[in-house]
Amino acid sequence: MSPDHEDLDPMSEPEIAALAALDRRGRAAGAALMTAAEAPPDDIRLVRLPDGRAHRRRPGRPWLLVAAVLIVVAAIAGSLLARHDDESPPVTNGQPSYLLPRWLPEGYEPFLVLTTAIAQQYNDAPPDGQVVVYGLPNEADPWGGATITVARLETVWSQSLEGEPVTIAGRPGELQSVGDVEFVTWGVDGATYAVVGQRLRSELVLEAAEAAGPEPSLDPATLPPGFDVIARGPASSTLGVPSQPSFLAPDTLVAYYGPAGAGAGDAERFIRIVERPGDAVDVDLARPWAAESRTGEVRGGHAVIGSTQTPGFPFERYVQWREPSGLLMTAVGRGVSEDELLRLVAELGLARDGEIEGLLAEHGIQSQNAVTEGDDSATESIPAESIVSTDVATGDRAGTGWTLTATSAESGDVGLELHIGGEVESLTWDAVDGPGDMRLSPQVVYGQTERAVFAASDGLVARATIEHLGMASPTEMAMYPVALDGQAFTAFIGFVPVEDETIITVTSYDAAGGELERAEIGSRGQTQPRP
Amino acid sequence: MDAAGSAALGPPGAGGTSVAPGSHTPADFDAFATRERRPLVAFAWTLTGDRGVAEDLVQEALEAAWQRWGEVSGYDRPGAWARRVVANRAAGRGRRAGRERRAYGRWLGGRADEAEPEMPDGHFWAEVRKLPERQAQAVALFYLEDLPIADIAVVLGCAEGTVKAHLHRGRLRLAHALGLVDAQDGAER
Repeated sequence: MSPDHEDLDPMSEPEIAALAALDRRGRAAGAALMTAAEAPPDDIRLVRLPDGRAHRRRPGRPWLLVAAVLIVVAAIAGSLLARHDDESPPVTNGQPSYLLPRWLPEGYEPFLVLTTAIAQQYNDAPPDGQVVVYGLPNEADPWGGATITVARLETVWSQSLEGEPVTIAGRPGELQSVGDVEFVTWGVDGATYAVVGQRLRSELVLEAAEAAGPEPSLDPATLPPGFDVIARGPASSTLGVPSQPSFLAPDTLVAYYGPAGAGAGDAERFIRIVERPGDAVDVDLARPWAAESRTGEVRGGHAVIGSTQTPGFPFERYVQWREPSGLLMTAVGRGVSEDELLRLVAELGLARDGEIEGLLAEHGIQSQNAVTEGDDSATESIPAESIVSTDVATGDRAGTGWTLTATSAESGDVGLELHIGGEVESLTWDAVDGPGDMRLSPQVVYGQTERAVFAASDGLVARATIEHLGMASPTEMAMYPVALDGQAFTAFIGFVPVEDETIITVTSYDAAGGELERAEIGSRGQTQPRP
Repeated sequence: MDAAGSAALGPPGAGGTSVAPGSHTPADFDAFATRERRPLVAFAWTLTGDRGVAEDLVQEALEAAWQRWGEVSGYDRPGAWARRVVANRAAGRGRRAGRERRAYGRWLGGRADEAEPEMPDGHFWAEVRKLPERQAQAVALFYLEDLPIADIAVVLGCAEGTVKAHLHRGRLRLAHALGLVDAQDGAER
């Protein structure tokens, strides 16, 4: 059957030809996508739960496991030497003296800027923790030999499924190897523990983990002769290790730069600069995890220059140093040469007044969300100031006040919003969704026993009713004519008492009283539309 | 659509059904989930542009199906029911969730970036997603599973005529957006 609607919109010959070409391409694209959607057999498993729920076990958050290792390794170095607290970072206008690039590889531009405060708005923000490092404290270079570290992270353990399943003190854990680093993680009472051994056999790492204490600590009896505590400290002090920033210290600024237009879509080419208050000894934090590293000098001070080749991650170059202002700086590059990275570092300059704020406004996560919440694409986003609105109706239902608001954007799109019980539901005026020409909201749950549905029609629907199976008869939806920004339509709203999850049916009628169409709406979040 | 329409739920293009209507054993559900997962993920992927978000949506749909398996398994085409759940839940959710996850994932470490596989012919599907929501859903089902009009109508819960209108206008928009229509002739509809 032809999908074309000649009686609706007659087509020209070029359009008919174009649609034929489109159909060929579309079917090819569909076939390719269907093939790509086939997941690896071990990637996803469906597990039925006893209470009738099913869930998929996906690989755990890989970043968590890797981050756990990173912070541990970094903390080893960072806590090794005594801290120099006599060099507090100067603060200007309430924030450290951040640096920003005055030179970038050709075509690069900022695309994401984050601060501690922004990250803390996300529930998924990485947690802090404590680390204790064991090694040979009397060696001239304790990092030149073997070390073993235990960490306790205040987050629920997540299995990555990338390692070998093991049992630690009767609890499930996971052992992984990366180069000459062996690490094991497991969970205890909502916390994640990690034991990381460098240049040590996995058997010894597992034995040490079995004897780990909650502080955290390791039992020296399980460690090589001469091993003792050489450092301890908070996990957040390790932010900025070469692979990635994983845990936030206060007053951290993270800025990403990449090829113009790539946004967050280019994982192979970008530069990340992490700045936070730190101590001079923290510079060497960058060394333990590196595939190769050397000490050097940048901007007149001690630096570590190296690269990482962590399995599962792209190759990265990095430079870490400390500014005289007290900021510990890390510049990480993917897809850039060492010369480019060093030039960027050499040409960093003090951020000017308002420059950080400007970057955050333009490239912060909130600003990215604002773009993606636009109508149909990032390029069609609607600036907030271009939206006008008017209240269509207000009322009170079951003790809950509500307001139906029409909005109009500069693009010409008109929307309808229902504000009720502290919630806002919206629908956009860009498509017909039935019944008739009505654009329907989902069920809006605003109380224990009441639900609302609202809708808009550009004129075809003269009246509408709302009901569910438990009701003796349908209820009329209230109608409100709306004129906004040169457009006119009718807004509808209806309420039904609902004692349990159910289907709500909306029926539309034309001006002559004839039934146009029915639509059934499932409960939001718990589903099930059903004809 | 009347209540009797529920018996028609199910995608004829999904390779038929090996699950007898009305049977609702765990094994039946496993067969259903195994058979439907891939087309559901593909469908959700087209609507959201993000594989991870798509998998989450499909997971939710399958979870909902399991919760109501006694009812859903009674449909002739339970797969259509699941597709409608995916379509409803994908609305307005994909782009934001995907972009946010990638951006945040990058900050966390970059592993999330690599975890997001490239979408085959991503430009084509990106243009599909720029269509009005119902047009995009109809077009995705049409190209992805080659579903007939009547079956798309079952999935979307609307009349066949409405589906034809969505497909006609959506495909025309798409053809223009992809530059397949001569600019001299390309009056927007």
